[in-house]
Amino acid sequence: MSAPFIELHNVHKHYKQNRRSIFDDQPSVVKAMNGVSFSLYEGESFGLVGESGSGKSTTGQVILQLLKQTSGSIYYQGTDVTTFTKQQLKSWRKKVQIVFQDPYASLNPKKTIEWILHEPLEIHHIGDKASREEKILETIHDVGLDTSFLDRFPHELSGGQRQRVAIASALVLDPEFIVIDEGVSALDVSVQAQILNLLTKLQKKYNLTYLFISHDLNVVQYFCDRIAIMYLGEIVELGSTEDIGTNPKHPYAEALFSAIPHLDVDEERIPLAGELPDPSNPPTGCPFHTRCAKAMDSCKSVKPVVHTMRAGYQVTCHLYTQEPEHQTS
Amino acid sequence: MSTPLLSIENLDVAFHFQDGDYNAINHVSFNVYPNEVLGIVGESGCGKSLTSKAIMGILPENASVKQGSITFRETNLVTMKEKQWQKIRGDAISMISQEPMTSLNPLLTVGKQIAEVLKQHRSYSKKEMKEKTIALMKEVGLPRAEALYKSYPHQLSGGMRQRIVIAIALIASPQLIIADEPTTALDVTIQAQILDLFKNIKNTRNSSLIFISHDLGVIRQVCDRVVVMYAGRVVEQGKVADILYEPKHPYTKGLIQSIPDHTKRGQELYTIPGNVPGLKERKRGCPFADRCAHRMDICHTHFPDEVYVENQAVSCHLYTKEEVKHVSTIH
Repeated sequence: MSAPFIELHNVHKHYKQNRRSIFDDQPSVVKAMNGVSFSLYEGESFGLVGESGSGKSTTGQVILQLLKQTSGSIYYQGTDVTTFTKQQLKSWRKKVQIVFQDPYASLNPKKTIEWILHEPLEIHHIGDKASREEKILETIHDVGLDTSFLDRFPHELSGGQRQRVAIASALVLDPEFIVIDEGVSALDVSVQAQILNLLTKLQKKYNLTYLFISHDLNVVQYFCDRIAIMYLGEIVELGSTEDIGTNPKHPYAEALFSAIPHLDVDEERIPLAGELPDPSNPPTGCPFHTRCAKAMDSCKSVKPVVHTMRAGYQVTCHLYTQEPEHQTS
Repeated sequence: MSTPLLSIENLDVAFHFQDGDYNAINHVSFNVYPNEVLGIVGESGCGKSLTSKAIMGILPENASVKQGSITFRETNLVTMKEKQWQKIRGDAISMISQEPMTSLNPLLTVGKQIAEVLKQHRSYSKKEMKEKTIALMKEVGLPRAEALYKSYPHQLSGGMRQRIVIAIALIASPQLIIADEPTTALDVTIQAQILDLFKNIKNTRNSSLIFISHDLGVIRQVCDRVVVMYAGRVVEQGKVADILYEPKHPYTKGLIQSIPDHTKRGQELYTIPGNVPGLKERKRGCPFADRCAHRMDICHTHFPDEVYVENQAVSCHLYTKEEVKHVSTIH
């Protein structure tokens, strides 16, 4: 494989919470990212899945440096972006964009679509008046809208059209990398299909790299080349969509994939007891052992390490580290 | 089939605007039979939630029933007074809403909120109410029910809050429960737990359930029959398996084909061209006509009658002709 486009090295992001009462000794700490490492390759769609509170959105925002990591490094085409100055960050941000879940909340309700698309060009001092207008026209056509939309306001648009505008405002700067944070989750299926097709078309046209954050496993399996599964701030399994989708290895991944409601025959569901533990007080050892049907004694005390099943496929679970014969397959 | 528990006939619900009335629900008719789970599917704005609000008598202030009837146990709910409604709501018909965060009172303990229903509709002693509440909290899968009785909604997780909302809906043993997108806000593993709970309710209680969802995978798991709505109209209804595997209406077919999954990787997803028409943009005839690949002249002028095609009832001109044409699937 070629050199990674984006590389995360042991990234931690800890949120300090205020003391809940005067009797608490220390403020509690939520480890939203607890040693996350993975690589993204140019032109791929990388899916990040997990339950709410698993740290997927934090990961997306830390990569874009919208949130500052607690420790660790993030390399963008070989350069560590965590050491960037303000000025360097600003010029880098042209290349990296984000599309959020809720286009109602992410578009300024008082501005026209033209203003919304013009603003990023102005902030980054790109082009003159004529070339900016040309770029806006090109972008609005790229996302499947026409020029009549430019004079409208966000409230005059449907949910799908608004999401197209949100994509356009990310696209207008000619980015290389876009984080799509639950970008299709709030849409109806028929609209969702239109937006997914649009994202695929744009990826082919502009060689975009996507980090696709979603809790909808059907969408992720349709859209992404590779998938990472997060649980309590850690990646528990990472591999190609074929590998993980057909035969997930980590007990959490197994339970997650078996819980998808299918239209055709039911898979046997692996029940998952309880809910995500309090992230400010995660279990010792493997963070999943409290809900794991296959937990062994060692899971309660010893933290499993990343185990490479084969090139590009890794699982963090004691079930696999203790059986070395798996390594050769 | 037996007599329906709830029968909706020719229901029209309109929103009142300064420039006139606009029908958000148009000639909707369907039945709910005893001890069945009926699903209602459709995209936002198709009238699923408004239908359920009409059944509960909680329509928004600027909307009202223009015509038609909702018959529940031989009583027409539409003509009832608010006082009579209050006796039925929570007791004979109850509702579970999508947002477990906003449907609970943040200032009352969850136990009190469940017991409140009994206080309104039954004459139990305080002790009996508490006992019944705790027994039900255990039944809906809440651990440590005694301790949780005194907790406040903000102390609970989303899944636990939704279990409380379900307990409120169940406590008076209603004959009809309306669940409006009850799992949409939940994670997939919690959703699976809640869906199991609904299947359990169906098996152990003598209640009927209207289950509203936009997720056909979820509908398949819990429902016996399903009603497909589009732009305020019922376009197709029948048994879940028939609708999902042998859809007849072009809208139902398009909806099913546009669902992404791993088998469609690398392929372009099927999309229905255009958008759901807004309330004021709806024209005469079939509301789906502008987006339909099979549209004919008659579709723009007349809404089709409901006809039976194989096992399901369909409202589409493709099937209203004397000889039922075989329609190939859209590709």
